[in-house]
Amino acid sequence: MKNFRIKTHGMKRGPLDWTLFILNGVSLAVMCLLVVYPFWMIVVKSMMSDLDIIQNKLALWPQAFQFSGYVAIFTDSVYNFGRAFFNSVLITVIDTVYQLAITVCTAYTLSRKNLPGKKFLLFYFVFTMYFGGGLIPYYLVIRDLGLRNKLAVMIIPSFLSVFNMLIIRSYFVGFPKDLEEAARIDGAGNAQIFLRIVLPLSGAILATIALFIAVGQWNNWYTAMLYITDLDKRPLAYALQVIIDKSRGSNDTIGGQVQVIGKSIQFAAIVVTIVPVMIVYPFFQKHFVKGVMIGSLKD
Amino acid sequence: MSGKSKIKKLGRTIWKNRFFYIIIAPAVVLLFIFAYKPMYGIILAFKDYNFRLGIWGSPWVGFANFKEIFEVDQFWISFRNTFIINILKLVVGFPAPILLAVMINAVRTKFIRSTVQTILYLPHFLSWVVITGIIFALLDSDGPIYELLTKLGLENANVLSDGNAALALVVLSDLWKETGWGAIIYLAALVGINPELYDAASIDGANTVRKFFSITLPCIMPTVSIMLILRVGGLVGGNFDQIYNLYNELIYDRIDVIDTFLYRYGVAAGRFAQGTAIGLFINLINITLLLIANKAVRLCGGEGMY
Repeated sequence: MKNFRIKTHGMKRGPLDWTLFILNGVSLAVMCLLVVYPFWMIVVKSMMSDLDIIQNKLALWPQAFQFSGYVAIFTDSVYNFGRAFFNSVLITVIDTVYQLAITVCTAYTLSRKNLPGKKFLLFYFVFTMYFGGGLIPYYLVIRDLGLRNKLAVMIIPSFLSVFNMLIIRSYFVGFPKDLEEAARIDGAGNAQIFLRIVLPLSGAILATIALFIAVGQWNNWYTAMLYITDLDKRPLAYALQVIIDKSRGSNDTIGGQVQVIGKSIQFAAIVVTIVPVMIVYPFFQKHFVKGVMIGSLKD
Repeated sequence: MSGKSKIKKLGRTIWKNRFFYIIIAPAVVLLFIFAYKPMYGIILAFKDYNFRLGIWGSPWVGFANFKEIFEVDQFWISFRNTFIINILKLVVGFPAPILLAVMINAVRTKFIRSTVQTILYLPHFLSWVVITGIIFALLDSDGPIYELLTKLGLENANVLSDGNAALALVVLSDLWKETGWGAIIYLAALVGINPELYDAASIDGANTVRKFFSITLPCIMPTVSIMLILRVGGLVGGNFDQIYNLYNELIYDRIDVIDTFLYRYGVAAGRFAQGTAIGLFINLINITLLLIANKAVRLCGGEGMY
């Protein structure tokens, strides 16, 4: 049946349709090249010497391979990338588990029908999407809790994204009721139903949200910039930000001066930061669509 | 039923559901600390903040902080820039993912389709720190774009010291980063369209363009309107990561935005009360815009968010 449909599509194509079809393919190919090339260039240049980088502008292939940039960021204590990499892995793993657990629990409770106080609780969460204290009152709360300059500042306050919670919630709302009823007749309690039936059947959506959380945390340099000054406590994203910022002599870096940081060092730092993301995310791709169904956010 | 037995019944229902209240409790407490407590801090906007006296103890000053920030030129410049940048991003960046989704949807070969998606989604998953790092590598004098501009006769073209060029860069780099990922939601909507509609149209002799306007577009309209409301609700804010990593003093007049201004003026320079006032001002404008956009979409017959 499906094949038949595709066939009729092909047969009915007029000259305009064919032109659009070819134009479409060519445009998509060009777009893919535009996205791939910059990454290719960075990876190639990260394996070149600073002198070669200046001469080989297009950088389709290195004149000679050398890895001094990579060696520098991991051995020079100024960059401290080994430590930063470790910090980032730690923060990302812990926060993904912590945030996912809290998000799922919240979403599950808010997906219950006829739960006393549910309307108020839902409002309590959704309200914070639209209104907040703003940067400085938030900063003062973090400061007063004594979280500055602790790795915990990267984890404890990032416990929930209401947006993610609503996505999972809408999935739970659509969860078939018969399964739950059947389990209840078999004598299962609320906790058992949640842990043994609902969670195991929510793998795809949980994987997607877990990826969103993990990537967000891996890329989080902003929290670190605001609250972490200790070199040993920097996550990778912030260590990279500092390298790029310093090499350009940004006016915003407090007490910062222009530092000569070799291009190969900068590029190696970029590559080390993006490779883990590039490796992990394609595995989650088939689940993505479930994670972005904003249309189903409404009740 | 008497009031007493009603309360008793409610008590029983709550006890029966205790599991649900227990698992939501951590989130309720944490949200109180990290979202509602900062809201209390908003009163700083109306105070002369003194570290020793604390938020509550500092003296009230009415609207003096607002008056002060309204007199700072860079505040209005960054306000205007935020608006311009977001409008440009809306005009260019809003239709792009819709078009891309239609384009990807037209590809019938599964392998090509998913490869294209994998490639085009990638930039979304990287931070602006990485993307700006790559942008610098392209634009610096040892990069290919600089080379290209030189060959085109634009010698010593420095995009990062020319306000208008930087503005274009901000819009285009955002397009580059987010169009692919933005398409996914429309792709989901496109997959949901009943294929029989297209077959019927084919039999009636409709071509690709006709099918797009008569079937595709009307079918994804609900998704489009919700995305539009969300975008309008953020017109006067955002872009911190992108701008902060990209800008420099030379181009403050064109691409400094409210959030970066707030960071420099309020946080880095320690003007906490004035910074709080800026934050409150922007938040109120955005809520207003969101409500207007929602109302407008509803008046036009579309589905609002609430």
